[in-house]
Order: sequence, then structure tokens, then C-alpha cells
Amino acid sequence: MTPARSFSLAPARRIAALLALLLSALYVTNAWQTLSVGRWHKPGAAIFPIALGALLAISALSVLFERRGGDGAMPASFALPAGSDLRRLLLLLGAFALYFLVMPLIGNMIASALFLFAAMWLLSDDPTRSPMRIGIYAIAIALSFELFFVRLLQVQMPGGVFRQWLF
Amino acid sequence: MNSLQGLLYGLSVAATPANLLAAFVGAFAGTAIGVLPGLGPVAGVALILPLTFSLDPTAGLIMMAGIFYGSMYGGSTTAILLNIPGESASVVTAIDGYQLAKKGRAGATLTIVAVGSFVGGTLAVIGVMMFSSMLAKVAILFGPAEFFALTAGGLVVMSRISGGTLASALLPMTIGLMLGTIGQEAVTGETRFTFGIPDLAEGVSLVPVVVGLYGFAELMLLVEDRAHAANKPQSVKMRELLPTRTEWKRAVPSWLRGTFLGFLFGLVPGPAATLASFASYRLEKATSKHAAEIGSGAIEGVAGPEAANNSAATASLVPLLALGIPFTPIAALMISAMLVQGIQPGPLLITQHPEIFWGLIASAYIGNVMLLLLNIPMVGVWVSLLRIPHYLFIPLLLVLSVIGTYSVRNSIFDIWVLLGSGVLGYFFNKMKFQLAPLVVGLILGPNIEKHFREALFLSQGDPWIYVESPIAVAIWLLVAAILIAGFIARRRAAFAEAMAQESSL
Repeated sequence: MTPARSFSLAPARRIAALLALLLSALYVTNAWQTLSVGRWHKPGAAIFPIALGALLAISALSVLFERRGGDGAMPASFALPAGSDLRRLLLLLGAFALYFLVMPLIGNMIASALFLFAAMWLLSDDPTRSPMRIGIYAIAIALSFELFFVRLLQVQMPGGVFRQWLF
Repeated sequence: MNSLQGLLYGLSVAATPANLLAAFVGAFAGTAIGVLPGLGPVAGVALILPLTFSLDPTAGLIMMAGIFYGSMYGGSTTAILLNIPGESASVVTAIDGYQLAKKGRAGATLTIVAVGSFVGGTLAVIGVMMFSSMLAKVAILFGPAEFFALTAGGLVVMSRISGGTLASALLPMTIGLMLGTIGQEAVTGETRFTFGIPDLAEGVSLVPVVVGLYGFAELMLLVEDRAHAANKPQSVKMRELLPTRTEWKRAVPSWLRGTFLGFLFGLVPGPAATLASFASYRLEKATSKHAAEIGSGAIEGVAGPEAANNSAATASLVPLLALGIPFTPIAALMISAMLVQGIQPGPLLITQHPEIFWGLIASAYIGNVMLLLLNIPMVGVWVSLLRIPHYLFIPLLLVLSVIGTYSVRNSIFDIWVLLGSGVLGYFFNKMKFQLAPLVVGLILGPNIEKHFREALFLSQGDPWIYVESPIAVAIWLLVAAILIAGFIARRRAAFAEAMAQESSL
């Protein structure tokens, strides 16, 4: 059984609508203060954003006041992971963020291999998983991506400080 | 050049070794992407987009089209064997397909689906060929007011027919439009909403948003879904692939009905393939001689929807090729590929770049034949792809998404956008907001604003310009007709549901 926590859909959609309402207010204020409105015959750069801000406010209000979280086809609730599943998801997101943050420094190939190892380790449900086997998979995939995309297809990826020692 | 001459010219372009290879690689990669749960056609095309920049424009677009068609084919395999649709257009296929697989007809169903997709795709190409060249001639007469009617009207239609409530589509659509206002605007060159971040000056790139919303978010959903991770398909033997004579006979009318319906849906803005497959399923239920079996394993329940979704996917090329307007996320990606290669899509494409226009159309024929040859004999290979454990392919696809995104503008900022879009897409999925309107809003937003403001410049501020020309009026009337028809259909469905509930009490 997957650990999950159930949330009511209608209140969650209302929170999203409130955030959208706040966004529309900030967006219109910024457009009004920083951009030119112009005239009817020469409309400025602020006109369209102001109209969009109003449209976002209208759509947020329509979500806010919709009946029982939308139409009958919509479920009453939705589930978000909890416990070990939530921890696993957050760790994966953290590893992903770390992956592209260190990529310019250590280069695409090494960063990819490290991320692949961490992600495979996190996602494998096998309690007897071997770090050696996962490490070999990670290095093999990172190396083949480097050869195919960077060397063969000439896709520009960060080389990092180890560039001169690799290949 | 008439349509037949154009097609022959296109075949000569598409049949060069480089373009054939591009079609094959695209069809192969697309089928693999479609088979793997987590990456649908949109994310698949988005990931491959940067790689096409190193090819010549025709080969690049042919490869993208191959991925698109291939993923539509591949999505059905998981739907039938595992009851997991590889993409949204295969949801309906899973209903009867999985029941047929449980009855031991998995192989025959896969063949019916592959041939149905071929029939739908190939017949729709004929329609695309005729409609696109006709529409391109009319589109030369379009000015800012007509383009404004088409783009804004298209978005209005999309927000209403993309499924769910109006608000569920309108809110993400507006967010997409707002994202499109970031960076330098097209009319006066003023910079907006960049907050001093240099990476935002060029605007928000389409690729990270699409890969995030469709790829990253789906992978996050897969990470938390352990039930499907444990699901393993049974192998399909070659001798089980041949349908019986009765199954062939029952499939043919459904293919034809599905193809026709799918083509009509493909011309309308919105998630055409998904809508077409659902509509075809309802049509089969209403018209088939074996309607009572549909839902519990009837061949009509897979033949019609599969032909419909492939026909719709092909027909959605019409507005792209003839008008240069993308009404689907995939069309938007194809347009961005053309723009990077210095090709302006639109009504003049057919005269300025006939090799691309006709080459793409002809490659669809060739691609469909390749997909048929790839899908039926290689079904065992696709099934074995499903056995790759999640812990291997999810990290692999995440790395692929980073390479694909980074390589467009060599920007780490774009990977932040990918991560942000992924998280947004994850929560939007959970909260039942639509994703396609956000992507199309992002693409069409700058065009809508440009045409809106240019029309006002031209008319010296007279707002009547938007409804002055007969073409603009016709477009707005068509938009109104589609909205009214949708409203009536929803009222009828609600009434029928209420009656059914009343009679069951």
C-alpha cells in the first residue's frame, strides 16, 4: 500500500484561485507602474498585460465560486504522497536541483553520473540493491549520453573543470 | 503545382536517404517514447527538438513528425497490455483493449490498432494535402484583424473544449498568456517583467515549459505510483498477432468512421487526438452492431478510437502548415523548430519552401508505412521495453530532459524553468487544471498581442476593424457556432445522465 494523504479538491482549487488573484494584482500593478499605456491609436506595452491581469482575476474568481470544486466528473479529493514516499520524492527533487547547480562546475558527464546514481538508488525498491551495479548503470548511461549527444550530435553541454582530463 | 504534383515532388524529397533515415529514427524513437509511461508525444517531441537543429530543416521536421506519429502508435501498446495509456489519446483504447488482452487476444488487438492507426493516419494525410493548399491560398488575404480573430478565437474555443470546467482551462491559459508577455515585446521592443534577470530578456522558452509540464510532472507522478511499477506485461508471440476474419470485418467500418471523425476534430483547436478518440468511442457505441459488447472487450472499441486519434493528430497539421498557427503544443514545437531554422511558417510556406511543405506531407505516408512495419513485427521489443524497471528509466529520462532543455539556449536558468514548470504541472494535474491551454497560451500570446495592436495602429484606434472584414466575421461566427454546439452537447449529456439516474432509482 502506497503511503498517501488525501486532500479535498475544492479547498485546494480555492487556494490556487487565491494565489492567482494575488498574482493578477501584482502583475497589473507592475504593468501599470513600469510600462506605457499609450492611446487607442497607438496602444502601449501595458495594454495587453492589463487585459490579461483582468482575465486572470476573472478566471480565479470563477474557480473560487465554482460549485463543489467544479463539475460532477471531478473527484472530490486528491492524494499527495506522505511518509517515505514524500521523503523519496523530495530527495529526488533535491538531487535534481543539485545536479544542474553543480553541472557548470563539474561538467555534464560527471554531474549526470552522480545524479543517475542518486536517483536510481532512491527509486529502487530492492532492499538488496548493489551500489556497484547501480554505479555501473549510472556511469554507462552518462557515458553513452556524453558520446551520443555531446560528441556525435555536438550538443553544447557544460564541460566543467575536469574537461581537459576527460577524453 | 497542384496537389498531385506536389505530392510527387514531396515523395522525391522525403525518399532521399537522409530524410528516410530521419523518418525511421523519428518513428522508432517516437514508438519507444509512446510505449514508456511517463513521456507522452508532447514531451517526446520537446526533448528531441534541440537535436533536430543540427539537421537540415526538412529532415528535422520529418523526424519530429515521425516522433509524433510514433508516440501515438506506441501509446496504445501499454494501454492494451497493462491498462496504462502511454498518452491521453490512448485512454479509451485501454477500456476494451485491456479486456481483449485478458481474453487472450492481445496480439490480434495490437495488430488491429497498428493497422487502424495506419488507415487513420494515411487517409488523413490526403485531407491535409487538399485542405492545407486550399487554406493557404485563402490565408494570403489575412491581415492583423483576421489573424487576431483566428488566434484569439482559437484560444477561446480551446478553453471551452479541452475538457473539464471552463475555469479549469481558462486559469492555466491566462497564466500561459502572461508567461508570453515576459521579455522584449514584438511591437515597440519594450522589455517587460524581467525584474533585472538577463535570462528573461529573451522571454520564457517553450521547451523547458513543455518538458516540465508534460515530462517532468508525469515522471513525478510515476515516482509516487508504485502500483504501476510492479505491473509487468506478458509476452506476445508472433503467431498471436493475426486477427481472425471476423475481427478484420468488424474493424473496417470502425476505422473508416474513426478516420472521418478524427479528421474533423483535428481541424479544431484543442487536444484533438484525445477528444477524437473519446468521440469515436461514443460513436461506436451508438452505431456498431456489437454495441453491447463495447466496454467488455469489443474490437470496435479499439479500432475506431485508434483510427480517430491518428487521423486527428495528422489533421492538426492543417492550421500549422496553412496558417502558421499552432493550436496544439506539438504544432507549437514544430513552429519553433522552423523559426530556429530561419523558416517563417504560414500561408507563404507552400510557395517559399515547397520542399518542407510537401516533404513533410509525403513523409507522413512513408512514416505510416514504417510505423506499420515497426509496430507489428517488433511488438516483442516494445513489450520488453515495458519491463525496464522504473528506477532505471525515470532517472534516464530526467537526464535527457536536462540535456534537451539546456541545449536550446545553453542556459541553466531554463532548467530552473523546467523544474518550476514540472512542479506546477504536478499540482495542476492533481487539482484537475488543464495543461494544454497553458502551453498554447504561451505560444499564441505574443501573436495575439501583436495582431491586436497592429490592427489598432492600422485603423487609427478604431476597434471596429476587428469585425470589419468578411473573413474576420466568418471566423468569429465559426467560433460562436462551435461554442454553442459544445454548450448544447453538454446540456444534452447532462440531461441524459439525469434521466438515466432517475430511471435507475
